[in-house]
Amino acid sequence: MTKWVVAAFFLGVVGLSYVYLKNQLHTTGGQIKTLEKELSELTVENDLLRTKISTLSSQKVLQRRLDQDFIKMIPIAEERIVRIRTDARSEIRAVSNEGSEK
Amino acid sequence: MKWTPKVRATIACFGLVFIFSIFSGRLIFLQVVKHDQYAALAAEKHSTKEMLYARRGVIQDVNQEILAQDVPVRLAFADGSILNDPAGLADLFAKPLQMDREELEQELAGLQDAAKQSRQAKLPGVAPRYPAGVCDHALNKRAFVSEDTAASLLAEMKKRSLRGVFFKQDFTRNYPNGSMLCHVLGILNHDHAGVAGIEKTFDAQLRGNDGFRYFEHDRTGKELVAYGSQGQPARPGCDVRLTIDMALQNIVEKELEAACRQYRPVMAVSIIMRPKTGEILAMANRPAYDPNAVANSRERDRHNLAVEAMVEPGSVFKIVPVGAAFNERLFTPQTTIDCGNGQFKYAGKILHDHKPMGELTVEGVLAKSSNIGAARIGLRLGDQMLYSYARKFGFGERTDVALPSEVPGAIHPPYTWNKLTITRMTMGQEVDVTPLQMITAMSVIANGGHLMMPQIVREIVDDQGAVVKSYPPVEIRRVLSEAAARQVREALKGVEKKGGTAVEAVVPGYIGAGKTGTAQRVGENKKYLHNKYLLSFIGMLPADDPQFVCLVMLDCPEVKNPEDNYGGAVAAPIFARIAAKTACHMNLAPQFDPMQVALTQTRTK
Repeated sequence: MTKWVVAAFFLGVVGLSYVYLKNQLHTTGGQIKTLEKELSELTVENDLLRTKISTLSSQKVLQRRLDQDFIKMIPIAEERIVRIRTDARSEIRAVSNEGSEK
Repeated sequence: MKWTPKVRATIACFGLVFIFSIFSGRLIFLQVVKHDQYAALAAEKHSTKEMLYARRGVIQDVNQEILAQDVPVRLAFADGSILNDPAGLADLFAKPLQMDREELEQELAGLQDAAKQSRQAKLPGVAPRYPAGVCDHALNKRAFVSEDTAASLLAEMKKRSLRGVFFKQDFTRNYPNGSMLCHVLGILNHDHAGVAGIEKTFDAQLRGNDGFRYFEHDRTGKELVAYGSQGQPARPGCDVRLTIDMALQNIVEKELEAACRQYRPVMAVSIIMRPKTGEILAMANRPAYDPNAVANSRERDRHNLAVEAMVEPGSVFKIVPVGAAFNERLFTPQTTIDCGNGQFKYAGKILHDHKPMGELTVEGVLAKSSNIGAARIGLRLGDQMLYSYARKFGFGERTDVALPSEVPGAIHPPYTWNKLTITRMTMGQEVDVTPLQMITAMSVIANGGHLMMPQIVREIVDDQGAVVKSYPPVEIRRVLSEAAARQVREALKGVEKKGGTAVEAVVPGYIGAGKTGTAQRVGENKKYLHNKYLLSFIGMLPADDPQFVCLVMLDCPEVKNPEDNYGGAVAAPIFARIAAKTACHMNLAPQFDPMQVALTQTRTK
């Protein structure tokens, strides 16, 4: 008799576990779907923000802002530019390097 | 036989076995014999195929500034099988979908009727088969709605208890710079396929591959994630990086816009090219259009005139006979030519110069743009050689730049010429070229005689940033010797000097070279008009080691003073402004201090 009780209990546990796990599977599936949706919405939001950034940093908008004096920029006068010859670059060393060599 | 309990029990058992055997047989019939048919029906009822649209690749400039990109939007679809109120839905959706309310209501009612008829005609126990498109009918493929609008419309539907319209994710193309570079970038059609510009040429690379997935859903339409899904993810398109530098493009567009306001030409083109590689750094045309609002533009505004317009080049073409003459060593820069004081009778016709000129050196012929001098050089070269050099410079054939609809121009073979052709062709008549061919030919002079293929695309990169294909510079052929090209360049320096045709092309601090073009336009009666000109200037900077070549061309500008209706007065100053800013952007060191020169001149006076 005990054997049958144990067997029935075991089968009951197995059955309940099956139902529980199946339920969990659906719950997890639902959660995955929600997260996927959230991810998709974030991707879309990211794409929209990227579009906004590229629009706001486009030549057209920057030029308009420059014309409106929103961005204050003036060209550098030629006399304020010091040009270094390409072949002279090897002769230039940072001052800090002088100390480190000692 | 006695009806003993044993017999009755046996008969009952057999009866039960028989009944269950029938059930079993039916089950086997349904599960085994009819398996495929019912599995397909079940799949049709519970499975859904969802398209996953691929994001189209981005078009970038040389510094990776985004010029064209996909923006996620929502596209409205209707499901006829669950539609409940066509009139209510039409009230809500007509305006955002830019549709006529009555038409939309009829369309929705039609879907509802089609679904009803399918349901009535269905087999008992079998799900109705709806005609194609009844459950996912796109309402207006042209009307995209933003994410926010879609969300508010769905909320409003819920509030009014409406059902049957849903939104799917899609993309629309966005051009952040509006009309800037519009002719190069091109546009897409309603199926998101490129129909002009780079969008068309590189459609296969930009397009990507759409994906799909099959998933199971319950009777309410909710996805059963536990059963998993099968499919293939969408593969985004590759990005195309151009050789265009948007900083230079901005300079060119701004100057061209100002020129169009001042002169109101029929069309205007400006191109900047790096002669050593053939890379196009800027390309602008007028009229232009905004690719974000193509519907508001005229069809004729959408042509890329830099590669589609065929024009007579005018005096710019003189670089061909002069270059040929130097290359063949028939003339030296100092050889003198009699320009007949502005009149030259040949084949019964008199050829004129814009002003009387006596003897000129070949350098002088270019600097002062003498038609007679150029004609005499042409006559010395002969028909065949002039034609051969014109072809070598790239005229009469497509440059094979990666832009669609390029025309080859027209240059007729010598056997079709009349006696006058050789004297006319040397001054840029009886030959049709594109602005891109003109600047490419001038780049031959700037690049030591090498003809480079114009490049507008630098590389194609995949969505991970790896280079799929790069486009290195391509030399088509050597046209002139290094020495001949240098001699032409030296001669072209004279154009910007005192007495030359384009003193206004001078860029302070630099020694430049260039050539003006003033081509008479041909009227409807096939005769040259006396008040309509195509004015152009093509220059290079610095002349001794050109880093860029720039073309400015205006067709039929409205000039107040008729004496100013020539390339040196209209196109050259525009070139000077573009070239000064371009030199600054390219960090070209000035060759001399313009302030010191001005001071020296003042002291000398």
